[in-house]
This record gives sequence, C-alpha cells and structure tokens, in this order.
Amino acid sequence: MPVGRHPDPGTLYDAVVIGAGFSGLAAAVRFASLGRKVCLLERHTIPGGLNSYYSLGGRVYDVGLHALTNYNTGDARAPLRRALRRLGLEVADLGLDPQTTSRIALGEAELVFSNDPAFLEDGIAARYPAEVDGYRRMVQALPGYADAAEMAGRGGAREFLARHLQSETLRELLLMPPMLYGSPTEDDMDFGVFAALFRAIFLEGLCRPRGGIRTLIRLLLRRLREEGGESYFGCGVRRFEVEDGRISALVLDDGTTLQARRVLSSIGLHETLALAGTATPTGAAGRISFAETFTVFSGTPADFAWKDGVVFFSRGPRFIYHKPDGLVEPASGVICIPENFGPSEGRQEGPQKGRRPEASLRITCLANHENWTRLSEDDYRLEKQRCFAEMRRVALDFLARPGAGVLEARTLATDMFTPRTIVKYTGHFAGSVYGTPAKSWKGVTPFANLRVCGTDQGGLGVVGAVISGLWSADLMALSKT
Amino acid sequence: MTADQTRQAVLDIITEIAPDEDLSALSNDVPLRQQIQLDSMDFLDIVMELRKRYGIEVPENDYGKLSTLQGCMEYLQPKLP
Repeated sequence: MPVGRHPDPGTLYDAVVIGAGFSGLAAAVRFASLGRKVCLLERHTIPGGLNSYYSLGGRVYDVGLHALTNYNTGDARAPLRRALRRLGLEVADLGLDPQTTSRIALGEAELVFSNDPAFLEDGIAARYPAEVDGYRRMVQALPGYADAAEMAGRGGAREFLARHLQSETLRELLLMPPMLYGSPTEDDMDFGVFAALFRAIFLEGLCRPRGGIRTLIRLLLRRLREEGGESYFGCGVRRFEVEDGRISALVLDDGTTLQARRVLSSIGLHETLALAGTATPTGAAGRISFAETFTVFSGTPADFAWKDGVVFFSRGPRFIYHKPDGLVEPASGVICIPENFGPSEGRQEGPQKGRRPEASLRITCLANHENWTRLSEDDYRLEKQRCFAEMRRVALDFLARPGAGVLEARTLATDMFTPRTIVKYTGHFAGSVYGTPAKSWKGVTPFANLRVCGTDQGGLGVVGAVISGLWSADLMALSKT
Repeated sequence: MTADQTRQAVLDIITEIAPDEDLSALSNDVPLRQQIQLDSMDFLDIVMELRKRYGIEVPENDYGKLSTLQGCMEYLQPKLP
C-alpha cells in the first residue's frame, strides 16, 4: 500500500483531498470506494484536524471532540447510520458509549437531558409547565434530515425559539448546547445549523467512542487503506497552479507537483482560496475560537459525585457567545467528563487501562485569538496558567465542589490548549473552530474543479464533517471534469 | 448469472440502501429514480456496492447505463460471474 511521505508526481489522481480531518477522511474513503484514484494530504503528522488527539506524559488527550452526537440511529436514513453505511462501517464498529445524563446550567436555572428525548420533555414539563406544549410544537416544527444548504438563510435560531417558547430562560437553556457545539456566528445562530444540532444533541443524543477520537480516526484510515486510497502525513499543500479557471496542479510544501482532475479541500474556504493566491476579505475569518483545560485526576468522577457527561454552563442568566475582549471568557462554557460516558461499571476501561483508575475534567471556554497570539512566549506561559486557574475556578461552581485542595492533591497531569495551538496544528485562520460565518453551503469555489468540504461547507461537529465530506465527494464524483 | 439473478443482485443492493422502499413491483424500463426515492448519492451507493460485492468498476461515463433495471441487467450481466 503506497502510504509513505511522498505521493507520486507521475500519477494523475482522480481526486486529491486536502486535510485529513473528519470531512477529508470521509471524502477520501468515499472516492476510493467508488473506484477513484484518490490521494489524501495532511500537513500535520496526526490526522483528525479539529477533532484530533495528542500524547503527553504517556496519556492520550482528545482535542475537539467532547461527545459524538446523533447517537440514536434507529431510522435507517438517520444521518449517522447513513454516513457509516457509505463509509463501509457499522455502528457497532465505533464502540460507542452512550451518555447517562448531561446538564445545562444557566445561573440558577438548569435542565438535565439524556439520550431519551422524553426525559428532557418531562424535565421541561416539571420546571416550565406552561411551556411544554410550545416545546412539543417547536420540536414538531424542526425540519427533518434536510441539507443545511436548504435551510440556510431562513433566519436565526432565537427568532424560531421565541415563536414557540415564552420563557427567555428556557430559550437560553435550549440554545446554549447547539450554539456552543457549532455556531460559527456570535450571539445567534443560523436556523438550519441550529435545527441540525438540536436534533443531533437533544433528540438523538450524545455518546463517546470508547478509546476516544483515535478509534474513529483509525477506523477511517483503515477503510481508506482497504479501498486502496493513498494518504500522506507531514505533507501540506503550499499553493495551487491555476489555468483557465481550474486548478491544474498542486505544489506541495516540499516542492513536489501533483496532478489531479479534481481537488476537494477541507482546510477552510479562505484557507483554500489563499492557495490559489486569492486574498481573504476582511472579517471573513471566523471569530469563534476556544481554550480548553485538561485536569487528569486519580480516582473516578463518582468520588466527587460528578454524574454528568457534559455540563453547558453560564454564570449569568444569559450565556455569552462572542469573542471575548480579554484572553478567555470563563463565565460561559462547557465541562466534559469523558469517563462519565458508558456503563457505570467498567468506566475505567479507557485508553489508560492497566493503570489505577483515573479520570479527566475538561473545561472549554471562548477565547480571543489575536490576544493570545500577540503574547511573548513567557507571557503566553504565564497567561495559560492564570486562565487555567480562572476557568477551572468558575467551572467548578457548576459541579459538586471538591473539598479544599482535594482535586489539586489528586491531580496527575494538566494541560491546556489555546487558539494559538489550534492555528499551529490545524492552520485554520484565527484559530477559528466553527469556520467562517459566511458558509459556502454548496461548497463551490470560483475554480471549476475545486470544492470545499468540512466546517466551511456547513459540516459542523464530527458527524456533520463526515456527512459534508461524503456529500462533497459524491457531488464531485457525479460532476464532469 | 442469469438476467434474473443480475436483476435480483441489484435489488439486493437497493434493499440495503433504501430498506423502507417496496421493490416488489418495479418496472424494468422506467428509471429507478422515478419509481422509488433514490437520490443521486444513493445511486453512487449502488456503484460502490457493485465494486465491493462483485469487484465491478463502473467508470463515471457509464453511470447513465444504470438508470433502469433493464440497463443494469444489460450492463452488469456480462461482468458478473
């Protein structure tokens, strides 16, 4: 199998896919499954893109993925089932651990949800009895598994929620998870993206692959090898050669020139156009970036009575979702405790099995890319420490607080990533996690044989990215060159 | 394979792609996409399954030949064992 460092400059590829995140991986598998000669290129040495992992001190840390959405896959045409079938995989291959519960905490208000939509509905009926009929009508009014492209531009999520729900607090509670898990726009989100994420999170539910994101990445790489696709890591694209409105060749970082009939790029719309020498318009880069803290501790989450897999939190009665003026916005964010997924027995059988039980606490908050970028190396280290402490202090208000010094005494390892880290490893402009606010819903570019997939085509989250990659590969496979 | 077996092989693939469709009364001459809910991507799934199950590579220029069951039978039968 030709998996080395250098693709063959003498080959005319049917398709070159740029970026081995989930959309790029899925697209490459699909091209290969259709019998196309495909080459997947990734600049970083590790695949996964915005949902990747790294090893540090003998532990594996997931970046990006908290939870996989769309867990309930009963309907054969449900997005995850459909996507997996197209990838030649089955749900069972993923080893998914469902959540027990997750929680949304907004000031004094809270809602708990599980993978049973009736549980959330009961919670709403108990706390907001006057709203439950409106909630049911709202769920009925959500579009089905339509393409985000068809829903795009149909107004904002807040307007839709306000049409069905009187309580501003309830509207905030229901908007917070979809927004934190995928809104490229500040303060309000596109209705189509909201509908897809609301369904994915609340109606289909959350889970985690046992063994973390690596499991999924390896499955996709295995499928790519099985289908005869090629993949190259540490192999970035420096620029495109353009002729008659088409990409005629790709020049790699090492100077090699590749020929391809079609190019599908998952590295971001403007990041892609920059390879063809197109300047990025001001304001086109996304404004949503994150910082995340990791605390690995000995014992289990149950030792602290931490039950929830994910906690979406806001200190105030309105959650904050815009680029902070400072380095981070600790007052709103997401807590994830990966070990709280799966059956309560045997939860320790994660990637760290064989050790004494340990668990981790991840806290994710919005962060300001420019402010992190302009720090000197020394200040960067200091600010990371300061923000780490601040983020954890605020987030612990939303969990049963451990006794003074207990979590610290049990801490085995800590780490943190910032927008600077995201730029370094993904190359996304401004460390943008959900991409440009002006999505390219159709994925087309000014170049006839170049499309974009992934975040900037509207494929948000791991499942969204996979669907975007498959959809884009299909459209390219059906198009004439 | 006989023509009937070839037809059945295609139906088996469609059953997996669109399990909710009733395939019992499909006409051989009317395009499949006019008879059942099958989008162009579902159609590519057929191409993918043919490759996976029978090792048949369908070049993109031949996609049009698979639009009806009759077309599938004529195109695929010589390629099937």
